[in-house]
Amino acid sequence: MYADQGAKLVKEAKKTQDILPEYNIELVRDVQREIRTLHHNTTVLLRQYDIRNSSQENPGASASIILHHQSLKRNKRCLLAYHYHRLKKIEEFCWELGHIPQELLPNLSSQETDFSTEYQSIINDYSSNFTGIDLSSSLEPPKDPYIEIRVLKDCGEIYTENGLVTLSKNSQHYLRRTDVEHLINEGYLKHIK
Amino acid sequence: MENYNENNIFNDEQEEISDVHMLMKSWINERCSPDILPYNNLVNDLLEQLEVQSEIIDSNKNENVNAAFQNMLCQQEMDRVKFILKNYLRTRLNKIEKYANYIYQNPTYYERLSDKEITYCEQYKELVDSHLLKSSLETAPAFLQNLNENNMIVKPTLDEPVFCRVKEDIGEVQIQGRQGISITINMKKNNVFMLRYKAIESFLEEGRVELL
Repeated sequence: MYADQGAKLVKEAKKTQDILPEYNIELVRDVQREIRTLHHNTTVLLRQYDIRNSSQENPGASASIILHHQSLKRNKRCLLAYHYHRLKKIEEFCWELGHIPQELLPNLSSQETDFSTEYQSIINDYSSNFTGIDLSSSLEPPKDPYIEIRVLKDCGEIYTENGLVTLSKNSQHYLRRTDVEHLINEGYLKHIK
Repeated sequence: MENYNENNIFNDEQEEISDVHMLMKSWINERCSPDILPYNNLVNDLLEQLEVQSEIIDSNKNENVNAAFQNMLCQQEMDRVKFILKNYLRTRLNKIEKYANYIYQNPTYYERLSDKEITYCEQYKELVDSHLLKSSLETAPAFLQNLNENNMIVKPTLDEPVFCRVKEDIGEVQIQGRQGISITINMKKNNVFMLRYKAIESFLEEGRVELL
């Protein structure tokens, strides 16, 4: 009661800053339920005592109402913080990979999955205005136009400026960085320094 | 004919250098400032120039060894320009996402964004709001469902300290310090100061200082 569960949610978000853990639907539901109970209690109290006119006469009741109200607001804050924190993580994935990694999909709530698809389409809308550059590629400054890469997983043939290149497992190539960057991000290739 | 062509390429490059330089300044300013700065319209010009440049590279691709070497240098330079463009746009998107609610409520900010950024901002705000409402507050009482309370809106911190270099003599300037104490500083060309962003905001707009 009184925003304990909400605090747990926020703590969970804080502990798992670098990963995207499973969506804690039960805790979220608990907090939502608590909000309804608190709200119910407040309305009952308000009906019982006419606080606005006689807060002096019933200091206990008015204190109780204030406490309930503050807990309500705190719960709201915790819920939003938890969800917003997760959104930011999802956004990161959308930029880096263009989608949520397969193994993380079960960790998302259905609304979050919807969010990721829609967010992706907003990004695509925006990026389509700049055809010459790949907005989602790495934010590291480029050092060499060509890099040496090793293939970790088969990824078939890709088009480069010199024609088709077959990337079969364990082979090594010297290619344009921009041609293969997205494959490195996805973990198909490894950049050999 | 050959001569004319070379001159043409040369001119193009000259122009590109200055444009790239300007974009670089905007990019650095954007990255160093806590606020969103006006959009630099050079982005589209530069994209066109990049296109032209890559056509040039394609056309003399198989000529000789010298051309190949020159192409590689060009290619590298183009990658760098693309990187700056990308980083510039992404930095702005980052700020737009962060301050989406604030921008939405302050139409003056719209003037600083490009049309595409305005669309992005509006779509993004709508998407986040509807997600937060659906997943957290749908069952809550109506008075809790407001997502635009004053204390919920993230604003740019204009009090943030920034480093800046003075580009031309400005003279004596009154700077508001802590607890209402104001001090006077003499801003001469090439001086470097660390000041609150708010204090140099107008100079930055006029291009009289640059951020570091």
